[in-house]
Amino acid sequence: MNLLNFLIKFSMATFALLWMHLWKWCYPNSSDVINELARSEIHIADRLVPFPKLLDFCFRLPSIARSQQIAESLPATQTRGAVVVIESRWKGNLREWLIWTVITGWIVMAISITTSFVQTGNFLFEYGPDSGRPELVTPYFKVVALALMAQFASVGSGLAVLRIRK
Amino acid sequence: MAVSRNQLLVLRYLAECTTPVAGIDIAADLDWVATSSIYAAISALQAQGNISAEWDHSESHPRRMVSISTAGADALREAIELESRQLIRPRRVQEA
Repeated sequence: MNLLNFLIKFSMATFALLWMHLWKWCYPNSSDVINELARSEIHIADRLVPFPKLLDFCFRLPSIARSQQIAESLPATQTRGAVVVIESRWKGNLREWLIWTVITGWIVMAISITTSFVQTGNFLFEYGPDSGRPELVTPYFKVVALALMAQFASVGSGLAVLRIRK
Repeated sequence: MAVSRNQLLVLRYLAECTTPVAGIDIAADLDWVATSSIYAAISALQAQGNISAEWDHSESHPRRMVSISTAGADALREAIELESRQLIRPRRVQEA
């Protein structure tokens, strides 16, 4: 039980770290504030933080990053002594849109795979009646394939736009 | 501009402080609210111009020190007035 508890907390802390870096990439001017918060909220090795606290951290992170980026973009609300990367607001919005597109795609894929398993007892494929091998594709396969393609297309084109329009 | 419950809590806390305070210290004092929620409130208030912030590099890790701005003090006064009006209203209804 202790090992399971540790594994859950460790996985959640690792996810929180990745999530943190994603939002720092999305809104670079918020990275100092996110680092300050993460120093008190994420501990991997010494003491593991309770699950609800990490969940709240992950949930609040997008709004913290977004608000901080907005604050740093105007001289009147900027943090004094901060190193600010001057960039247009559309870049942050595009990066955030890419993040939510990928998350939505994963949710759609997870729901499709689960529904396919519940309805047919198989993951996206059905076994051929004669051969006994996976042959027939369930309708959910198309949904998963479309979601995957949409993710690749949006992430690819989004990153290309971000790279081209500096 | 309307402020949320956590933002109001932070504004009230800052109104009582005479010197700039670190976000982490606010979270430590208001320990019934999650640290992340306090940080979300501080960032939102900063974006609205209700608080002013400055980096303090005197310790091993930089700390964002925040203090209430004039706009923040006005927003707090408005919120308190609105709160008191909402508290008075039910009594009037009861009297009627």
